[in-house]
Amino acid sequence: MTSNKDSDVVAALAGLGREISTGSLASRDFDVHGVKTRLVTNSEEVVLAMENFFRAFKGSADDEPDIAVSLFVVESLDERMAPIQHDATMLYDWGMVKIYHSGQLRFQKVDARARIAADVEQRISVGFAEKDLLQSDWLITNLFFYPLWAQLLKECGLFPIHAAGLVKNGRASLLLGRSGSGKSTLSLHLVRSGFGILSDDTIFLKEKDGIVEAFSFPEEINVTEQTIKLIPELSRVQKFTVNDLRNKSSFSIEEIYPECVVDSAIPAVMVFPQIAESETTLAEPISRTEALALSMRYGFFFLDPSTTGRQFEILSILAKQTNSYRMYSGRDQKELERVVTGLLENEEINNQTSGERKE
Amino acid sequence: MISKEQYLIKDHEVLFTSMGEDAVLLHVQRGDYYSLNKVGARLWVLTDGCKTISDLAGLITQEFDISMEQAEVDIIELAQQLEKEGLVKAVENPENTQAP
Repeated sequence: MTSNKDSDVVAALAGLGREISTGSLASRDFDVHGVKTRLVTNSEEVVLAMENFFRAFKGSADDEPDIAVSLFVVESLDERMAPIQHDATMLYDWGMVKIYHSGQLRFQKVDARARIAADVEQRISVGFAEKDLLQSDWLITNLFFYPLWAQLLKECGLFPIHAAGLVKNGRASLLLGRSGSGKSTLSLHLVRSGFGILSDDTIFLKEKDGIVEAFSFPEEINVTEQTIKLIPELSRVQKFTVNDLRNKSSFSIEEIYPECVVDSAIPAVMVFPQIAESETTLAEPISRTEALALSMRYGFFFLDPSTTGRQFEILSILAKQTNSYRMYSGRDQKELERVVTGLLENEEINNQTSGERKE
Repeated sequence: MISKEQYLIKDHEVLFTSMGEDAVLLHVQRGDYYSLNKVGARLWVLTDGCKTISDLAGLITQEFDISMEQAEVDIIELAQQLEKEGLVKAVENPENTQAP
């Protein structure tokens, strides 16, 4: 049930942000696969980071936003700035980032230097962060902005999943695994061999008429120093963003492989990769039940009472509409590419066969 | 110990999805998930809070090649596992009981 008090909490925080901001506020609109987000901020650094983060999703100020986000950069946090309500319970703990909920309100802490509050019913979010926390674009976009925004996005029917998405002939292969499972490196090699890409790390799922479709989110692709040395064309990258926290560098993949980003595709294959200590790559089929269990383990952003049921439903449709494999990725990149390409081509052969049978 | 005269009440925080013959349960609050084989999946669908374990066993014997005695033993064993995980509750009288 909605209480008037809760309905006012986040709107009041936006008022506080405006009141304490000196200088003018900037406003930017983004359109992520039909979900419109309006960002208001007092920080030029936030504007630049967000414009790069959403470079593929420019929106129009004329559109009424589905989600409103206000981000205020302050000298130091005080107790008025999105305090976590005493009755809030923890939903998720990533160490540096913690998420709490209380009724329709969600709260996020980024260590002791940033707090954000969101109202999932009104789809508004207001955050405050100390200047010294936001030293990189990645901290602004991925730690400060993204977690609660993604939650509001789910309320709009677009479900983020932690996966890489590669596309051939309009059909997507989703690679689901934790950081370090080789998703980005494999994505890069597959793009080099002619695959289109939805993302190397996060894609969005949307269900329509019983079919789940995957949508792009082309963040900068993360690579290690070793990968940069292995792939000659990466020497042409104008600017790498160095992420000290994750010990990786990132770049816009479109810079080197123009036209490689695909807007959307129907997933046909799910692959759960893990690094194997061998040269050879092995892929073994898994049941739909196991695919659903693994997609929840790797793909869930976090469980939120207001959207978990719908998210579970979408992942179960996804597990039913795809063929899924556990893959032990060997060191031989060429063979690895052959295996993943083979899985998708196999799927196409199966589809053609079933199509013929239907006729 | 659960008896065959008891009723099974599902926790309202548990989501069910059929995966062909098998099924997956998700406990929304905890994020824990469980898989059920085809008999377990059918049992979950049949469990509506108004049937005793004996009633459920009778229905299962109509659909699967299993004796009434064995069905009751198997259902009690599964019900105990589900109750331990907080997915169901076994009660004497369903009308006075709230889901776990």
